[in-house]
Amino acid sequence: MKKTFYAVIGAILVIVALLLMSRKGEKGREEGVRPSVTVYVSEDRVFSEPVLKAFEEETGIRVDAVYDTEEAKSTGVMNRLIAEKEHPKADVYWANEPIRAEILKQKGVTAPYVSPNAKGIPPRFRDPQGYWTGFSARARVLLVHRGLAPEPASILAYTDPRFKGKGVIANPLFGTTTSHIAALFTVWGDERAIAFMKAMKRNGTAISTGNGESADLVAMGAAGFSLVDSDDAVSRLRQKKPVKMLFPDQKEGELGCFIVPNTVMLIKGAPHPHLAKKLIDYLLSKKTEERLAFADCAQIPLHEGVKIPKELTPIDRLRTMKVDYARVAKKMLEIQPFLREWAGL
Amino acid sequence: MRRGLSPLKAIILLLSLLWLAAAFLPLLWLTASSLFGDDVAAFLKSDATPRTMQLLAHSLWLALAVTVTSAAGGVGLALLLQKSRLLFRRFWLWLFVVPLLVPPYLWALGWADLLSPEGPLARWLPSSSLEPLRAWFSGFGGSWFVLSVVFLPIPMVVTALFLRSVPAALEEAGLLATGWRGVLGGITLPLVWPGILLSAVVVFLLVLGEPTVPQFFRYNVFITEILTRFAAFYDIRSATLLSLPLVLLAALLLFLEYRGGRSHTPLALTFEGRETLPVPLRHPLLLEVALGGFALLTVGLPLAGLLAQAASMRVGELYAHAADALGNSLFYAFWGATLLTLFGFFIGYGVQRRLCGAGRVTEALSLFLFALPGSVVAISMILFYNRPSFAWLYGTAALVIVAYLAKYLLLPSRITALQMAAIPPSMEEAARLAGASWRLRLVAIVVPLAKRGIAVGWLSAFLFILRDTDVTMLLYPPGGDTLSVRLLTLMANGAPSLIAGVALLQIAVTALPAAFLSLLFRGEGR
Repeated sequence: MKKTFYAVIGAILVIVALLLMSRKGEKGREEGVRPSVTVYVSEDRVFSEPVLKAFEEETGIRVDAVYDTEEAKSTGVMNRLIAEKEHPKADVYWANEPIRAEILKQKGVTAPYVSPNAKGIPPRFRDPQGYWTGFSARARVLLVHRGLAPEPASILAYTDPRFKGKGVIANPLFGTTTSHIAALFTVWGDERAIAFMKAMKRNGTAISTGNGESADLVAMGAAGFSLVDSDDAVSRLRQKKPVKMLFPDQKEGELGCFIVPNTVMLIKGAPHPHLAKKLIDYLLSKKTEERLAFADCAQIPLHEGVKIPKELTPIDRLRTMKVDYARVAKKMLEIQPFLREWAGL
Repeated sequence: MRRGLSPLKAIILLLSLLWLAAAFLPLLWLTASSLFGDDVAAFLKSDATPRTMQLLAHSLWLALAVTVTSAAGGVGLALLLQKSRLLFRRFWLWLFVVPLLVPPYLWALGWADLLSPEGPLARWLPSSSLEPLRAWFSGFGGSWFVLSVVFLPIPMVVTALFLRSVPAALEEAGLLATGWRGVLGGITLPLVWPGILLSAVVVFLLVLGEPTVPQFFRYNVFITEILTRFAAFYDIRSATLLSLPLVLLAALLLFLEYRGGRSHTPLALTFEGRETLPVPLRHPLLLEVALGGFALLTVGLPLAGLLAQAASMRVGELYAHAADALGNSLFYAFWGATLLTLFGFFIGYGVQRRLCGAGRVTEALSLFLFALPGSVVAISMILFYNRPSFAWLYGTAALVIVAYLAKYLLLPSRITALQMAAIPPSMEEAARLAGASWRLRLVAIVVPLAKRGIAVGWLSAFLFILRDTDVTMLLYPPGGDTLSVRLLTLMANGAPSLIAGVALLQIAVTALPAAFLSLLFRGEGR
């Protein structure tokens, strides 16, 4: 009796698995009927997925998405795009910063496309040849624990003896921190930037695995402050953690904060270029920017006249670092050996 | 007498060739194209540095420390839980398996959260007492502790399974001449030695290939360097070349494990689950309390943290965010484990019975793939299969399963080989002389005797596929991500309650088939 029972349970498991398999088949057949576009996404899933779902609902075009993971530091999607270069599977890449877009341009993975919706976006957030276009930006901000006094107001706090041992920064080999450091190299020049990095280390700056961890360390009080992306900061604020978000270097004559727009690009040889362009147009629309501004990532719209929540500062009222992202991308590769040594890797 | 190719040998040869062509050839392709480039000398010059050697030394030291701790702890727990009549022994056994069921990164996060100044422990303990612990956790200490807890279940479960096979008659005979200490040291442990050795090798290789925990605790290891080549430089070729020392190390381990296991199996083992001869305990209650304390420290606290986090999550939210990933996980794990068991059974059987040279080659190569970082295996699959002639395969769930076949064949094949060592060849030989066909011998003798081993092989493959992230992340078709990958995508700014809920779902989905198989075999062979 017992044996029969287990055999039945086993058979049920097999049937469930077969059903799951047939579900895959159904999806495959559906492809022939419903148009679909494939997008690889490095923007956090919790923020990007609702936008893609909205596109599906509004256009009837199915979106097949591959998302990056925090753990992989974007290894997944970027390496996949590079490895698939000869026979691309993706139509569109939605990156959460412009440097990867530049690298993909240099590696010949992307194709130019100037969307009509890119019109209102300031030229410094667009590739002049149309290989990528920026939208909905994050700012690199200082996340400060409420218990820290005095409060840092500049990234130079990392080298200030008053804040010795209080700062934490994400590993500069990965993500937006790399871009930020590379941007400092382009603005300050190598000598000053290297001196800054060395002083930062001497001042007891800790290194975390990523911006998320940095934000958590500050939220926990294990660190006093950290340079993180504004979405990491806003999410901790909304979790009611004891932290403050400050835009660094906002005084007259100061550097300004580094802006990291999302970027979208068309993949060279995309299987569905027409649908890809529709998705790109959608992502670059004011509607998407408004949605991302009111989402938990609280990203700053790059179009003028887009509604924003109270806690955000419009892009034209922020003092921002004036950088050429193509130069930053080039510099980023150049300084990798220095950064590896600096990070002790 | 001329001996032709028997049907069994033909099956093993066919499966071996299939595996070599589908799973190993892509890696060979990638390695060859990396090795025969024009700047290999430059690569060696720039990368064979003292720093690289230091990272390798860090990796080896961490892997060794974790292997020793988890093997010692695992074997000790297995002895205590399998060879005693402790009241809650089954509960403890299941509880200690839990850390293996979720990605180690999550476990590291759980501990960091527990120890943080605003974490649960800080409410009960003074901050000054936590500070040294925090400092110790940052670096080697945290990596060693978390990975030891995560991988402890492997030697524990394997040893427990082997202990179930030790014939009570042997131990009873030993007790006539000596005490339990002598029996355990002279009879029981030598019999389970091949299992301990295999699990130690598996743990060592898993630690070498695990980047997330050392990275989290800021302990620089070799695998992080390989990951950096991918993540920071997008340099597939140099990452592949840098992986080669791991391959050489795997070869050395294969040799040692093979030699060590072979020289320590003087008696035939069986997986049949008879009641083992219990070791009398002086203070069982005290041991239960000690086990409870250990469980609370290693598993209970982080698990309680997850449960507390998940308490505020709505079921509908979990369903919306994880139902499809759960389906994908089950799909991949079921079919991947089934295919792996099929390949592993025939190849392991062929290796143990020395039926076919191709089987031996396949098994040896499977260890290399097990030792390689999953991202290298996955990239080799992309570069090899992403071409028009393989358009029917590339970008489908089938390719993900092929990659699992490449990466995890070692587990079912080695488990089958160990299992087959326990079945005397004379039984098959007798059946053959009595006129039984190869099919009948297989169906009526080998499979029934090996069924527990087959189930363990299937379960281990199922478990490793469920927790895999490296291979899946690079190969899953759009919309086809698994729970492990979903967990990591949600960890970037996802709601903590949802992340905890998905992690608990992952634990449940892995524990269910294990519980089912455990029930299925319960009481057999008594």
